[in-house]
Amino acid sequence: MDNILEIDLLRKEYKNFTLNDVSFQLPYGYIMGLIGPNGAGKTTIIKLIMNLIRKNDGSIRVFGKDNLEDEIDVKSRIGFVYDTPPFYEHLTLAQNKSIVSQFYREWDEELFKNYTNDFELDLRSKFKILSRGMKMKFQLAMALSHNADLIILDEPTSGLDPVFRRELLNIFSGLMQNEKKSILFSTHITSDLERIADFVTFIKNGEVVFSDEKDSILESWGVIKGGNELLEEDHGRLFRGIRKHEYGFEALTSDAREVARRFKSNVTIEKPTLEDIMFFMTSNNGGSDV
Amino acid sequence: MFRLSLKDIKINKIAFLINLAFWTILGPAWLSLNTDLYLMLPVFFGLFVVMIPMSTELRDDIDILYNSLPIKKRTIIISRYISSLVMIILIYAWIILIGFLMDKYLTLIQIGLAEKISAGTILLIILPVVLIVSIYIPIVLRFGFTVFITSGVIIFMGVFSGFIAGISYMISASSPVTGYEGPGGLAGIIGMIKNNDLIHYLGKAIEAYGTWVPVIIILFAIVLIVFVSINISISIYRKKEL
Amino acid sequence: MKIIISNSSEDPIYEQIIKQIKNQIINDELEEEEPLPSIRKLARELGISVITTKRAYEELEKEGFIDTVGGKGSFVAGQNKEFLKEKKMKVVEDKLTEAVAEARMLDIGYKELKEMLSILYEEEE
Repeated sequence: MDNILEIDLLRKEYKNFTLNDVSFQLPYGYIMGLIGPNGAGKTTIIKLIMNLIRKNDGSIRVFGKDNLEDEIDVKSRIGFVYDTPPFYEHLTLAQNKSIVSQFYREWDEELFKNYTNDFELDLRSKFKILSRGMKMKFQLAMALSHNADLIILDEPTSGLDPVFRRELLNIFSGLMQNEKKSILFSTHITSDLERIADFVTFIKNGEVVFSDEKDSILESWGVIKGGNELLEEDHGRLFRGIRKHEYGFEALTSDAREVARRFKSNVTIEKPTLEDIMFFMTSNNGGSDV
Repeated sequence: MFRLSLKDIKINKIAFLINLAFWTILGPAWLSLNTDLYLMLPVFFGLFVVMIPMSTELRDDIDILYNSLPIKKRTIIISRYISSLVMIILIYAWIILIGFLMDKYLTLIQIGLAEKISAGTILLIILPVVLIVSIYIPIVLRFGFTVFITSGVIIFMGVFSGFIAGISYMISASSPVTGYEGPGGLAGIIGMIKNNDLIHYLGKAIEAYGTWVPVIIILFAIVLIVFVSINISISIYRKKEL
Repeated sequence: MKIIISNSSEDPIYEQIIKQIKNQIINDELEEEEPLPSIRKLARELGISVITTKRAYEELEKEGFIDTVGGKGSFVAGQNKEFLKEKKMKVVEDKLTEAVAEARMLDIGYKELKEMLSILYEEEE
């Protein structure tokens, strides 16, 4: 599979935080969810891809090109959706659109009208009077109307109702009918990704915990429940994010098969949700390497 | 690049039009007071009316928009210079036009604008404006708008005094030519303005150096200042983290 | 073609798809050479990820149930009677293997199991 996005040993240093040698790839035609707790570095990664901030080291290749050397080319094929839509508050949607659309060679006015009709957006209204949901929809319509091949979204659904979130997933499904387009979608609402993501990359404390096919992750990881006596021996990295209570413990494992083999019916193993994984991995002894 | 400048102007057109309206209405009153003031003050006034909306745009979130679009940072910066300078030139041209029209049709007020104005004097008045824009844009880029406002007065006074000193020198240096015999320095200049003589003497002083030589020098200085400022701005902008 | 996915099932989603398509082929609900939806269309209709449907199709192809022609899509493979019969046998064999394993674990002997089987067959009549 050819990759639409290749991040290699990406590094960004701040005073209190470092994005440390982050690497992952997204092939053409698939959706990747970027998950992780707040402050983990998801937004930093997206800003680095869009060159809103400058990297200290590493490489970012989009469509096979370096994102800095071919910045204009690359950006013309990316549709971006940020958690705070960056438009002129005092101008109308139509005015905002005409400012932006002139910079995209492949702007498709028909497509834009279709989206704004579907989303029920009145182009004559001023941007500032829109609700958060409408602002996001407008930003989405803009991002989807210039035949972008890569859509990048940073927390697009936080603060939005479940109905809109479903709509968004439907739109994604529609886009994925084209096997040359991909979507990178960062969120901490993992239920959105549960069904539709092909790949999941989990970032914690500026590092990649894992980046893999979502199906594989959900199959090889598991939520373990067992009696506390099992905790007396050291099982190394097998149990993560252990939560002990009076009558037993819960933990996450990245190797459900091994746990089943070792402990047989002394534990119950359940298929994890992405939320489980995030939850256990962000507690104290979640650890960050796999 | 030019599309961007146009957009800048379109967005700020209200501020721009207010400025024009202001001078159309008050023009005659100012003119009757003093031609020299009439020619010098509006440009500084217009500067601020134009600068303030522009600097609110240099706020982070709109910057995020432009930096996410397929536009080079260089283009963004240059377009700001173009729109600033174009707007100021338009305001200025408008004022001169009004002045001429009033000279021609309002026989009550006759200030003889035509005699006073020459290419040299116009450029000389535009020069400090260009200087202020060229200092202003990099500062706002680097330090943000609030710092500009607090330091803006200092910058303005600095440029203004430098300007005064320059004029002082020019006039005194060629006093045999200009025929000016009054006191020098700031007092002298204020005196000249009061007597509506400043532009007149400036014109004479410039002529002393030949008709075209000073014009070329001033033009060259303007181009140089803008060029240096643009490059500084571009390198500041490149380092900016959004 | 009918596919129904349960999120609460023990089986991973791609397995559910494989089973259902397999059964429909074995039961002649899907005919030879019948075209199947593209992996992307199926993913969209079921509201799941593309890689999941892709995996299901790859597995089905490996087991000989479908053929994928590049550029044209996937089709139910041409079946011969022997092959189908074998597959049907395999389905029952798998279930019986499970039953045997369970019986062993619960200490149920061969005789008892055999009796159970007779009773069940008779019940169905």
